[in-house]
Amino acid sequence: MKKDFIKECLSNDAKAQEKLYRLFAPKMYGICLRFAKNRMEAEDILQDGFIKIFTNLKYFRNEGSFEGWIRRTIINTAINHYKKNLRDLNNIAIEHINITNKTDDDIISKLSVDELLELINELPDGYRIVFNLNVIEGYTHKEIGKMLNISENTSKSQLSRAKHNLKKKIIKLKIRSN
Amino acid sequence: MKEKYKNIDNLFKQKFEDFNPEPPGHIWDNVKTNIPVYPKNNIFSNYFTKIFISIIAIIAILIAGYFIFDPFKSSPDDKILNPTTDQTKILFDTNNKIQDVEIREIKTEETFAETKNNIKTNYSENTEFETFDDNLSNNKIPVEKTTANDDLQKNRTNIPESNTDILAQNNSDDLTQYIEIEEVKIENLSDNSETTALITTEENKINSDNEIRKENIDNTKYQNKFKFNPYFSIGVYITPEFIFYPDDSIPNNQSYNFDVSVSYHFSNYYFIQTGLGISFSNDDGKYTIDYERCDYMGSYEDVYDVTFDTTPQGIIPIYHTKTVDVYDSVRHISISQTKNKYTYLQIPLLFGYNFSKNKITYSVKGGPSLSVLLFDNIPDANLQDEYIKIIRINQKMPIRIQTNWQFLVNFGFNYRFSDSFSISMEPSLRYYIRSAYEKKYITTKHPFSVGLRTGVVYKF
Repeated sequence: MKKDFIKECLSNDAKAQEKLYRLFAPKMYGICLRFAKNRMEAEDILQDGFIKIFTNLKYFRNEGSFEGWIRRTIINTAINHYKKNLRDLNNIAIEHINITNKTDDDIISKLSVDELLELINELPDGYRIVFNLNVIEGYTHKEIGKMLNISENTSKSQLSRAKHNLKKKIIKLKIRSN
Repeated sequence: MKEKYKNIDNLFKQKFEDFNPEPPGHIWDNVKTNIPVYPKNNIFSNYFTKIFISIIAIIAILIAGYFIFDPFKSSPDDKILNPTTDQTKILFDTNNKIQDVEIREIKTEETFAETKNNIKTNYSENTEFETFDDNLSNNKIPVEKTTANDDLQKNRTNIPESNTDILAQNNSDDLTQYIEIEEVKIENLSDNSETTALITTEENKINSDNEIRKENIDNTKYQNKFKFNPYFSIGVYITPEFIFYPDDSIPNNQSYNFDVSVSYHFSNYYFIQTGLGISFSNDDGKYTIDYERCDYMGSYEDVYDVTFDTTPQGIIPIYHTKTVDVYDSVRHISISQTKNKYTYLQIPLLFGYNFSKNKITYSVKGGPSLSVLLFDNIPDANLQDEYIKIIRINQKMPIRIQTNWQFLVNFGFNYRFSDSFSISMEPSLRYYIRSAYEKKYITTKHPFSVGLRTGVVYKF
């Protein structure tokens, strides 16, 4: 079914192309929202990503998951969008990370997706991208290092900082709610 | 600590697992206006369709060849293969009075007669003389004589009167002489007769006719032995080729062909050949990439405010600054080289002429050949430095068309090292009636290629 679907898209079938977009766009938009600073940038990333997908569709070799291929394309588009801001990641020395207080996991579980999304969006670019790639997308630090052209240690430190940052924000939220 | 972090990880992951918000509508409107138009697929774009059509074409050509050049149709010359063995029927036609031929054996005592100069005697190999008179002079030759009635064997030669070569005169009172010879002059032994008889016996005629017939039969057998029987042969070949584009800046391409060909030799000199081949070729792909590097160039302190402090020394301005990073935003162009690979199916139909000398067969053949593009492998453009923002990618290499026709000429040298097997070497010239690239990109209208086709042929 996947092969026929792609074949229809490559035959300039407008309905098939729209169907492909409607099928995958919501999930990809969710990814874009996590990687972007705000909605406007997320929309830009989604638009650029799908244009890339349709441009390179003829090179898809039916090896592996089609959704996985689309997902990787969107993520790469997001990374390229923030590449310039990731320049300094390698220059950041590995500092000692402040150990935070015990976090109440219940707080996180009570937060809505939009609230979590807002927390993630507030992270600096480098922290946010590494957090998304490792925690939600499941890439290893070695893979993240290759994608972002940074060292494995830098990726680890970025993730630690991201989580530390998130915890601080969550604690603030808890205090506010109390 | 790690465990706590792991909890957070799982919580975030779970929360975003089913996070599928609907994007705004204007995004699809922008995307669909930027979707490229893909080249149309034709009947030949599907791999299995190409193979199927090729097989059908080969079968159709072979069937047409069978009906045109039916090897099993009999010809009038085939009658020669079955000559009659009944010689007597052949020798006599209805005009002759004598209906059968009898061969006479030689018996009886000999008598000697004086010879005259005009008497000539030719003895056949079967002639035998039982006695030999001592008084035989040099000029006397033994002449066999038989009585008229007694010693006649069953086979008696009667000379048809219609034969103008025969002058035999039989007189019942005379001694009749029957001699198994080809030609003889016999003096009539009667006193009054001086007739010189020249007998050319029917035996002679029969023998000579037999000899002629035998010769004809032998010739026929000879002809049948060396009569040409049409046959098939199959060969497996490999051909490296160089393709030339004289009028363009495209570098010359190379290709490697592997093919299986079937030849039908329907006469001693002429044959028809077809087959299926796979050709692998490549060319250099070229992309120009417009990009921005976003390199960090440095920073400067940007003064956003100035205040003045009053000190004992006087008024001192204080400049309030902020650090501004500067990144390279100049657009760059890079050229990315790739190697494009193509796989073609080739279907030739060639007509040829050949002749053999000793163990070598020389041939020349020519005809059209159809190439159908089966696969192409065109890598994407790539840049070593990933820390860039790509603006635009242009593919500079022309696009290849799905099918193209060529005219092929081969000169063959075939060395036969057994009855069935031979090796073949064929310098070839291929003239492209239509280029493999789209016309608007190429100046050279008719590229050409040269190659050396080498293979093994089996005759059956």
